[in-house]
Amino acid sequence: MTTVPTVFIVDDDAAVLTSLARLVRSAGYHAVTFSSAGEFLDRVTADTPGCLVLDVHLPELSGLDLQQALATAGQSLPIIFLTGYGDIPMSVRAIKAGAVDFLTKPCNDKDLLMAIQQALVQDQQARQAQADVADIQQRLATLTPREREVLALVIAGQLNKQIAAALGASEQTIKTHRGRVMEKLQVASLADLVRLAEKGGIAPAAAPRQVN
Amino acid sequence: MKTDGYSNQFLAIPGWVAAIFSWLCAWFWAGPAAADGSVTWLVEHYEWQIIGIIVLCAEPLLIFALLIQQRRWRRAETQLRDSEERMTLAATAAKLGMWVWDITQDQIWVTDPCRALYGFAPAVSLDYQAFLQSLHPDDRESTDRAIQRALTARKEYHCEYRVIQPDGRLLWIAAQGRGYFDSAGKPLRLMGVSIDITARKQAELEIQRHRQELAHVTRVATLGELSAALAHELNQPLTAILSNAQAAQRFLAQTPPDLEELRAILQDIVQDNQRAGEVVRRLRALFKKEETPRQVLDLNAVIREVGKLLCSDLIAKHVFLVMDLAADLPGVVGDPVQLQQVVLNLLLNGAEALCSATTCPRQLQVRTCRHDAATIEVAVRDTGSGIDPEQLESVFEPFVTTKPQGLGMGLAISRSIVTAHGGRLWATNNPDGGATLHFTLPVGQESNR
Repeated sequence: MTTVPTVFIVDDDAAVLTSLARLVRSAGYHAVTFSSAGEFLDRVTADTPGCLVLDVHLPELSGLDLQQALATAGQSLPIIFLTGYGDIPMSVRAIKAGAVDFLTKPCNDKDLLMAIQQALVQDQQARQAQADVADIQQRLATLTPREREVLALVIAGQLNKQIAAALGASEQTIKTHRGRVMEKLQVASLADLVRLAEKGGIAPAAAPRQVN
Repeated sequence: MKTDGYSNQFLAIPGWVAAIFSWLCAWFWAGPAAADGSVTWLVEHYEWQIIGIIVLCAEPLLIFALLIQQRRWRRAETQLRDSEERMTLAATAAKLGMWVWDITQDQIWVTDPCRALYGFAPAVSLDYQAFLQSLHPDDRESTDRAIQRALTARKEYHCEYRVIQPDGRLLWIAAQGRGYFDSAGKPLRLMGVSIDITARKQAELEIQRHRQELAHVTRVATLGELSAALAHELNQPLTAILSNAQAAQRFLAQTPPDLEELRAILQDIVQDNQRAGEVVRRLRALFKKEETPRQVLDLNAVIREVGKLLCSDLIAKHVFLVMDLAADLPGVVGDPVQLQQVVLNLLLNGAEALCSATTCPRQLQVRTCRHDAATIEVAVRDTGSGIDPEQLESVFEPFVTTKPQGLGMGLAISRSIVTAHGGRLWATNNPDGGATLHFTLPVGQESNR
């Protein structure tokens, strides 16, 4: 992963494309240019961090079409739209579909660079969140089925005694399982365990029948 | 006149009666001797009587012949006078001036109405130079050329020119004539008529002015519809200029500044500025109200110019424009702005047809080719849903439109422009769907105008 984030720029006008790339480079980012949406889809893979500066009016596949295509492909690259004559419905559609910003050409360098910065932070956060989830899932994968069962019941707020009753094991065994889960998932407290499980997508088990 | 003829015949009768009476007298006097039948005897004895009889017989014949001749002369004279009167009447009514130019003597004879047409003072002798001087300065050369051409090619002479009257009034005159040549082919005389066509010309100019005004109004309306796309067309270079300039400021702040990059940026700024200027120039030309002088034009260049203007609009409408322009087409003579307007209207119409249809791909094709030796054809073909066969002709009527926001003037004004350029505009449906609008224009012959 490069340390300098990449700003992808798509515009069918060569002069605009070159000037935007220069502006982006002058702010210290790495700029990659494309003259059509199709070209972008062909060349860019999901694992490149960065953001996309996209002209709305492109021949063939429009900017909004590209946004849709990326969403369908599960790519979460933040998008800044540029347009010469944006109408309100168009901008609403773009923002609703997750665009970072919708700027009108000619746009000021400050506006554009700020939007780019915001988009890059967003991208980084999204990637961080993704990485965290991946890490948690990796940790969760190390649990045995029994430990998973215990985990689901623990985060559902069950006491060791209740879990033991529900799983038909001794309270001491449950305690041992619970300790091992905490160890494998590298958490120190019950609160951390709950948060991690939530991030990892583990649903709390339905409360078992109450044992009186 | 008929009564004259009868009375002449009656006048001849007494002569005949006298002749027959003389003959009978001679017969009785001759008596039985004449019964011999000897002509010699008769001549010998009645010499004087015979002469008298012959004279008497001849005299009425002579009188009769003279009377007939006189009657003919008188009739011819009347006819000539009538004909002249009719001619003068017609010439005066039509404000027709007759003239004869004796080329060998360089003298021009003109009728009085003709003098009035050219503003010549009465009884002043005229020559060719005097004639040329009476014309509007701008028309002298072309008129002289037309006369020389008629004399060299031995063709009918026909020309229209303006004459400045002594009181400063401007008259439009059409002159038509024919040269007479000697056996060696040397021109002797040029004879013809001139007619005042000022009223017709004014009406023509008025119609032309109306057409121009209408064309201008519809052109401005069309450009109004296109304003968003045209703003975009200007916005692109402006965006590039702004981003380039701001990037340059940032590069300058760096140490050391990247001079190579700065040089490239400045070069691009100049280029983008020129591009914005071009857009403005193109627009200004179309917004212009006054008449553009007719000139020899490259139709392909006209089409390319409109294509550039429409580029953004077509992209926004997802219409793909294909240009199939024949190379080395001869030029046409016309008003560049009005012909651009025709192409603009046809392309916009095609694009609209494509937008209202759900066909895919939305392809608009503009093609130029030689229609025949004397005409060039431009065809704009779309892949839309075509035109109702019953409406193929009525789409050219004013205020007939299929568009919800259309004024219905686009095709009507286009047809009037093409017609005024001596061409034709019509619509056909394509066998494979969609419609094609064709127009022809005559190949330009600037030298013959």
